[in-house]
This record gives sequence, structure tokens and C-alpha cells, in this order.
Amino acid sequence: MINAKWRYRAVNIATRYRRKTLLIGVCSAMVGCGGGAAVQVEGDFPKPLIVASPVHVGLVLDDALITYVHTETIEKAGEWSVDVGPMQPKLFRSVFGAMFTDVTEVATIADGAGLAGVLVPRIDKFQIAVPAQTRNDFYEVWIRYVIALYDAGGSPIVEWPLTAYGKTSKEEFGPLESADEPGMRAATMTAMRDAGAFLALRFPTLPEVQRWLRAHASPDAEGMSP
Amino acid sequence: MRVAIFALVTAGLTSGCVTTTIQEMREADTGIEDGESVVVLGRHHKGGQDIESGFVDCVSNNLNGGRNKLGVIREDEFVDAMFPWFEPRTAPLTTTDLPEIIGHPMLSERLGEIGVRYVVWVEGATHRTDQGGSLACSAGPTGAACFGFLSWEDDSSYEAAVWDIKQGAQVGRVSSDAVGTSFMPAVIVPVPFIARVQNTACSTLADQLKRFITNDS
Repeated sequence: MINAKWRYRAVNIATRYRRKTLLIGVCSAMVGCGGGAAVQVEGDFPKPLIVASPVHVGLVLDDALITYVHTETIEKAGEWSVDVGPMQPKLFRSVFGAMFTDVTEVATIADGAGLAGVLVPRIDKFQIAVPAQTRNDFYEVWIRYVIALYDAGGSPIVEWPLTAYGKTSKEEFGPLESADEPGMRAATMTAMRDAGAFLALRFPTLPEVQRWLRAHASPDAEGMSP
Repeated sequence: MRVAIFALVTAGLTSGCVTTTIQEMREADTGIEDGESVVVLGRHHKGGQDIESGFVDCVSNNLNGGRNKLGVIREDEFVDAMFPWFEPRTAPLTTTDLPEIIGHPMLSERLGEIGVRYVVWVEGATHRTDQGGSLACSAGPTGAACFGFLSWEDDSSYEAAVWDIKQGAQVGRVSSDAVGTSFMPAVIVPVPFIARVQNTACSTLADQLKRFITNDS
């Protein structure tokens, strides 16, 4: 009787274990072989620690930039979309707000007449790579921005290509958790942060920008940084 | 008590052997005062090999714990506070760039606010250097069983460069190289004997860094 009871319990446990294993297997297959991801990028950027140039600039954040969504079908990795548009105002308000003493958002370049210049950032190219495609452990993002600066009359002063890169290892996420969404989100944030850092430190050192700054900086200018 | 002994015996039985080599090169005197802290940063520059973020956290936690613990600022907090100067593409690669950073009034003021005295740059990685054996498992209506033997060797090699913000110079380097073999024999049930190679490299590196920074030989 006792043996029979124990045998019943053993069979019962084994059945439950098999069901659990099957469930985990099915879930893993769904996670591992899923058809891509829709990634909504969220977060904030720290305020750059730089000395602002004493000029008043206009900033155009057009619809193409603030609604930018990258979509791509990757072989063996499905349909991917990365929505970075809503992050662009956060990035450029934070970086340009630290680079210049006064920044006014304007709808068009022409609306910036009377200001020292107008900045127009845009996304030129966006590329992603995922582990299922590259067979390494990384989610990678490349963003090629073009930062255009126009003078008060609307003539271009410089069009500066700025390539940013970000990557995240899937090992940073738990083995039972799908790394696709958080991995791509983190890699995209790293790329945008890279763009912000490079923009803040390198854009003011461009010869065309330096000439423009010398012409427009107020006499009590503290000097550029870096 | 019995539970503690069992846990110790189990840990001893189920861990492989790890051999660690620590090296230290001192270039200047060190010391740390109350209110001063250390930040451990991983090297992530383009072209270089990325360090595992878990290893940086591990070294930070070990420096901030145990005997003679040091004040430690988290890597992400420091990088945010110093944005955009310590990003992968903009961080100083050598101490020749350090005077520019600490000579900048805004940055020097921020460094003073957060109280960082030492920046420890860690680079390195853990690699699987060897593996062999085979293991087969099968399951049937009466149960499951595994037979075989697996073994693998990991090598964790990390180096830390210590920069003194006060002196504006590198004050030394500490390296930790740990090699260990893990194995898993299986006669019906696989029993893993895992060598915690990376963890050993982390704790030995952190211990040596503590001694190096506090000048405690």
C-alpha cells in the first residue's frame, strides 16, 4: 500500500516535471526564435558638463526627426522596429542647451532670422545588428546624424556628419528573459549618448563653427569648451 | 552549525581548482583620506576589447566591502556626473589627457563635489582556453540518466591602471590572472565541479587594489 502510494507520487511528480519542462521549452523557443521586436526607446540624457558659448541659436526639430522609426526585416531574426523619434528632442535640447547660452526652437530655418544661426539635426542613416544575425552576443546600433548649421540669412555654414555607435551584450540579461527588446533599447540609448558626447565636444572645434562663433560671440565671452 | 559544515563541504566538493597570479607595479605613493572615494571604470573604447560589465561591478562591490573597505562611486553614476568626458569615445586613454580634464574648472569642481580621488581603469576578459570530453543523457519512461565526463579550462586576465586625480598621474598598475579547470563527471546524475575563475580574479584584484590604494603592504 505504502509502495503504491509512493509510486503514485513519483509518477505524479514526474508528469508535472515533464509538463513544466515542455512549457519552459515552448517558452524558450518562442523567446529564442521570436520574429523580431518593436522597440520603443526611453530614457534621459545627463546635462553635458561644458561651458556654453554666448550665442543665441535657433533649433529646428522637424517632423522627420521627431517621428523617426527604423524598420528592418532581418533574415532569421524577423521584423524589427526601433522608435527613436521621441528621444531626439530630449537629446538635442539637452546637448545644444549646454553648448549655447540661448536656444530657441523654431519651425523653419527662415524663422531663425535675427538669431546668430540655426541648427538643424537630422538622421541620415540608421543600422542595427542582432545576435541572431551576426552570431555574436551583441545588439549593435549605428546612427549617422547630419548636423547642419545655417547663418541668419539661411545660408549653410557647415553640414557635419556625425556617426554614433552603441552596443549591448545579451549576456547582460537573464537566461530566461528575452534580451531582444531591452538589448536593442540599451544599444540605441548608448548610440544616442555617444552622438551627444561627440557633438558636445567636437562640433565647437570645427573650423567653420569656430569662425562663426568668433563672429557672433558676445564680447564678454568666456571662451569655448573644450 | 551542521548546515554550515554541510554547505562548506558541498562548496569544497563542487568547486574546481583556481590558480591566481597577482602582479603590482607602483609608480608613486598612494593613500586615501576620509571623504575620498574610488571609481572603477571598464574600458569600452572602440577597437579595444570590451570588459564584462559584471566584472566592473564585482570589483567595485569588493572594494566597498570587507576589511579596510573603500568609498566607491558606481561607474554609471560617475559617467553620468562627468558626461560627456568619460564616454567610450571621449574618455581619456592615457594620463596625458588627464591634466586637461582636472585643469578644467568645471570638471575639477564636479570631481571635488563627488569626492573621487582615484580612477581605476580595468581591462581584460575571461576566455575559455580548453574544453574536452563528452556527456550523453537519455530519458525514458522509467527515468533519465547521464553518462560521461566534461572538462573545460577558463582563463581570466585583467589589469587595472590606477590614476590619482589629486596628482594628475598614474600611480601604478595591478593585474590578476586566474586559471581554473572545471569538470563534470556523470554517472546517472551529472555532478559539476565548477572553478569560479572570474570571481576569483575579481576578488584577488579588488583585495590587491585595496592594499595598493591604502598603501597597506
